Amino acid sequence: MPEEGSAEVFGRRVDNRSPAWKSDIGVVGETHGFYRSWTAEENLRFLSRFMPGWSDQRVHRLADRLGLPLGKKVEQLSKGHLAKLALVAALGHGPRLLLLDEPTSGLDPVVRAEVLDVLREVLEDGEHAIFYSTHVLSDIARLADELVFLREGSVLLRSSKDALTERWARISFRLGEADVAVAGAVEYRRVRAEHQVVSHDRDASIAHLRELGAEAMEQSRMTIDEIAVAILRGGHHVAAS
Amino acid sequence: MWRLLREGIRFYRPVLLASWGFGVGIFFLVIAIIAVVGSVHDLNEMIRAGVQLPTAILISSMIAGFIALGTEKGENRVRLHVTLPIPIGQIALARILTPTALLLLGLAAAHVAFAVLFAVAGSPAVWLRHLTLDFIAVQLLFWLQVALALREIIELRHRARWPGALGSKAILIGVISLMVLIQLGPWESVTIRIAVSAALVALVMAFTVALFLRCTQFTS
Repeated sequence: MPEEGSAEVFGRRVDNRSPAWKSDIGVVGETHGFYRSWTAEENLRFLSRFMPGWSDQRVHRLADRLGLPLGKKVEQLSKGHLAKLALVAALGHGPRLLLLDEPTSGLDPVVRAEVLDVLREVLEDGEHAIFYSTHVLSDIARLADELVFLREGSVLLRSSKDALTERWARISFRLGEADVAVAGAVEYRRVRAEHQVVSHDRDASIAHLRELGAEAMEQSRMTIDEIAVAILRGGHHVAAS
Repeated sequence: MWRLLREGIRFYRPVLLASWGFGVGIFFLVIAIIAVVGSVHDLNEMIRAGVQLPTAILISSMIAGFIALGTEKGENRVRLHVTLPIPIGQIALARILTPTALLLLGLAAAHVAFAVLFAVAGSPAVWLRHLTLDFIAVQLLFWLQVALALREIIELRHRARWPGALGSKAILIGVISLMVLIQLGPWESVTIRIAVSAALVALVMAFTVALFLRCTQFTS
């Protein structure tokens, strides 16, 4: 919870006393506050009474698409259906910004794929934005344009996804039986004369290794998952003679 | 706020009706037992006293209020409500007014039951008994609101350090002490007792709203 500062949503100041800015956002969290003894439909009807721009047509189309049983009581819904209901509820009023906090946590792969498909469709028209907080990086690998890595509440790195995958690389090479410091390396590993680095600046590392006279250089792209682990781990050094 | 309150009452209506059914059921069970093991005289006295059935309705309404409190907490309702484009103060008011409304509906039903009983049995001092009902209701409402305030204090303790919640606890203990004083004090007038108790209830409600606003502040 921030203790100072301010926030704006589409130019409107976040102020709990005049909450018009909330009409522009939809929220899906790990936990929901639905009325459990009401049906999914009744819960959505409840929300429709408060949300300007609510569209029953949009809601029913989404519910059909996700196979959400609207007539079932919330207390009878599975975790997957609950996540789908939360997504439908968040999209019912056509918000321009979706705030998602671990929305696929604990879901089976099929439901997770369905939810992510809907989110991809939401982004397709270029009019909507999603702010997605997750520990499951594979979820956002195809969705995200911009990534922010946080550790203990502090921003470690903010970058576009393309720049990350372009700049980060795993490079292996052969170069004597002693440790070397490679420009741009955040992780280093050596077994005798075989070296491997994880670099956050592929070009700088390659240029430096050429200067050092490294041989049998091989580089491979890293997945977002691997990059995230390297960033969040903060880099380390392993050597074995 | 009114819409949120109306929806809350709609949601808890089955709970309220079930509580009334249960309360009235117990009352008639007691009457039946007295009728079997006691005497007709006992039964007549009981009906003449006339506050038992309305009191049963009142107490069962308070139980419905407590069920509402527990359900709101258990189902994490505030999480849903804060996403709605409603000022946070109105959400706070709806939170305290929902269980209050259940109890007040109970009070209305209790007065009706009381009036019916006296229409049947007759009494020279109906107005006094009506005031007794109001007094009981305001006492029950007070404890309902104290429970709400206590919940907010516990929430505040999770967010602030222990000493941060100390002032809130002191205020609540002070208000409870005042209520005890009103109940045990020498004042004869029921009307004055009701008025002072109602003022204390309003104080606790305002206190709870302030605590809720403090807990849900985006920035401090």
